[in-house]
Amino acid sequence: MNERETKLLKTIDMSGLGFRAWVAFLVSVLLWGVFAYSRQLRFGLIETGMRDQISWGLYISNFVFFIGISHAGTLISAILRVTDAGWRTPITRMAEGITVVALCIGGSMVLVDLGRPDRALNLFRYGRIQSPIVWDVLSVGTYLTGCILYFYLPLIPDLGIVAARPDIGGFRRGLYRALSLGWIGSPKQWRLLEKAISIMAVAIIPLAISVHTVVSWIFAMTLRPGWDSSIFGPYFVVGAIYSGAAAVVLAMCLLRRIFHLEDYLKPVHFRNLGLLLLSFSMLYLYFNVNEYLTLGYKVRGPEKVLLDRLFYGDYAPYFWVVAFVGVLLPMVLMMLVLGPKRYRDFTVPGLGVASFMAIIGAWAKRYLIVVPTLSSPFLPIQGVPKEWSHYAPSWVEWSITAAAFAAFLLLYTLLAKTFPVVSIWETRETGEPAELAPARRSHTVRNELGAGGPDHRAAGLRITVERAGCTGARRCEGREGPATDHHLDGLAGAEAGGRAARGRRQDRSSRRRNPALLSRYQAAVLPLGCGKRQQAQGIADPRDCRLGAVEGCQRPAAGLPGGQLRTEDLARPAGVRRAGHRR
Amino acid sequence: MVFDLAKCDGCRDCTKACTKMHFVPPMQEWIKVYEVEDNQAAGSYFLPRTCMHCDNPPCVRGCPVGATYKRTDGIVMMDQDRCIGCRNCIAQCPYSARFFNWGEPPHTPEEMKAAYSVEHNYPHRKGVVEKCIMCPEMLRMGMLPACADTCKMGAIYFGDEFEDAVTNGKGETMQFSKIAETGAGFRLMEELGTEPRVYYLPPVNRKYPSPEEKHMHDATKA
Repeated sequence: MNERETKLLKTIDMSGLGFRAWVAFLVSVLLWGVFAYSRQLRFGLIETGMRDQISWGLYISNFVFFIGISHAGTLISAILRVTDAGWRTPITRMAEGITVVALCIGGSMVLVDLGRPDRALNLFRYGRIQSPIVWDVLSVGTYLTGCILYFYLPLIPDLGIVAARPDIGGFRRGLYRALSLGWIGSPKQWRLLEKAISIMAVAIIPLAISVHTVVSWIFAMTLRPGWDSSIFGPYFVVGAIYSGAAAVVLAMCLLRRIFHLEDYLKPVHFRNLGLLLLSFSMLYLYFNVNEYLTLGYKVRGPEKVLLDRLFYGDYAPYFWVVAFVGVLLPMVLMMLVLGPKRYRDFTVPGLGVASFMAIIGAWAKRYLIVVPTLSSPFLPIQGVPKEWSHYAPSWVEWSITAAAFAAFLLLYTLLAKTFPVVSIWETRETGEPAELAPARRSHTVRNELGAGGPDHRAAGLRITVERAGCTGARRCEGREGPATDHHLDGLAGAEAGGRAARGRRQDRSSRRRNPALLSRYQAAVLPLGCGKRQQAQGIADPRDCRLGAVEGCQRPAAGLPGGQLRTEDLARPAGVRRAGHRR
Repeated sequence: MVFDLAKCDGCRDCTKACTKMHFVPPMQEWIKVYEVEDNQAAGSYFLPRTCMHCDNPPCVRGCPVGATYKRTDGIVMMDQDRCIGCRNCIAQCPYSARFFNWGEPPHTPEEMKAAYSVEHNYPHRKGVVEKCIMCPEMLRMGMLPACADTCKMGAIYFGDEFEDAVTNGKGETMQFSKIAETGAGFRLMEELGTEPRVYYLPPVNRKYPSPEEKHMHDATKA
């Protein structure tokens, strides 16, 4: 275990006074919420401020908010993974954590809102597919399952690293070992893992979009003024990604400060995510204008009542504060700290403040979507006392809301305590040794391959090299230069084995004639021959082998037997890919 | 069901009879009499609103567990044994015709005597949705729903559309298609496509003081 990994694993050892006080604070807020909920269970929803006219309130707003926040992670990290944005690697873990936790909290808010939680299972016993509520149960359930998988899969190699820590206690070692599912970092495991992660990354994007669309459909499938809108799906999705991205930025700011992750969360990460957040704030503004202008231009009867209240009636203060604090101010602030060079120093704190405002605005906006519409029904509210016609959340609702936020922070803290907040293997520098398991025959090679891991094609190539008798020397990879005879021979032999093993996938001969690929191939293949020569020269540690350090490596190649070699294996050699990681 | 708005004087006897018969919990009016004004120039009128028992009921569509459903005779029914209290039907209903038992409803001994039946929906329970169910147990006995039976003005007619006959509390039976046609019968919020089963005859040639006159009368009396 090197210094870097030790530092990244420090969060797991949190046990100081500050940590305990923080957890104790969160637990006490949570317990207060549990007490409030016990009252609600006993006396019913009469304990809330909701009544027949405004029959959904804080709980449903929280539900929509948390489901929105959950778009943070997965969507952002999945999109960045699919587009192979190298800078994502330090961020994905913390973003995916937000997703999993927010989904758990959001889902439980619906249960809290039920009048008869004891009958919640009726949803499965008598569920009717016509109902948007059932769509929600299905889509949130699927999404949660997917997100847990997507959080868990890239965690496995890190769990292996943690389980191998010498200073870890018996119980926790067992836990990590069990969770790492026997991970030793073999090329086959890397291949499987990489494939699984790719599949999940692609699958999770439509899931994430569908889940918030379906959440919006709970509202859009009604006839109510203000909800009966055909753009609610994309409007909610954009709002969700906006709030989710803001949550990621805020989490990055906080975690960076608390765990001193300045080496990983660099200004460039904030800048990139800030640009994403800025573009989504603009997109969200566009959707807001579109939604309210199309209604406001025509001023149809029931919608006019609602818009009058929102624009200059009793909800106007909230509406305009939300519009400014939630969208416009963060937008201007982000433009300032991302645009002129003069303010570049303030990028990180500026984005932190902007994303905090965006999150507050997002929460209040959910409230403004739920409550004003319900309080502006088609038939006028007549003959009921004020507390039945005006919604004011009760202390029980506020307590449960506070508990929901506390539970969110608590679960996130515990996640950070249990798992590394920054993915260790994904942020590994090129050439950094990965030490997992006790030495086995040629394990160095395997792990070296493993460290290069994500690209199973490259790994596959190295295996063939290994079979051909070469011990790899990853340190050399990625250097431009001529190939040596010997390793080309080795590769040619290895290639035969690989071909037999891999069957028809390899016959994409068009690639062989691609000069760009060939040069990339040269770059990747180059170092692989060094091992044998090293051995011959008695160099003990293959890692010491560098181009130039070993004389033979520099001898120019006679020619490239491209016809004998599968460039396909090298389409994305590890060295080329890693260059992206360092960006 | 047909409401002749020309005859409704806003006495709210129907609400009281309904509440009494179904032991309707406080703050709920399964039949509620609104006082509405279509525009500034037009005078106001009373508008009794029950459940519309829509043929395309948004509440039934939205219910996740089938706790509210459409009977073959057209009644939109409510099963208190199954309702999970998600209140999606309340959000769905454009007529504000659905209510929720926010707390444990106050019970009377009379109400508790009866065993729960989906046909009368009591004893009432906490945490479920309530609504007008058009008195199925009265219909079973061949009687009018409580509201129609009580209305002294004879403003509420009830009947089976296929029999084409509707009867009010005064015992007057009319041909439904005829009064709907000649009286220019309308349905509430036709534009929403809910296909309500409740018709209204417009408040023309009123047989009672208008709401304004009534308020003035009440004020002078006080």
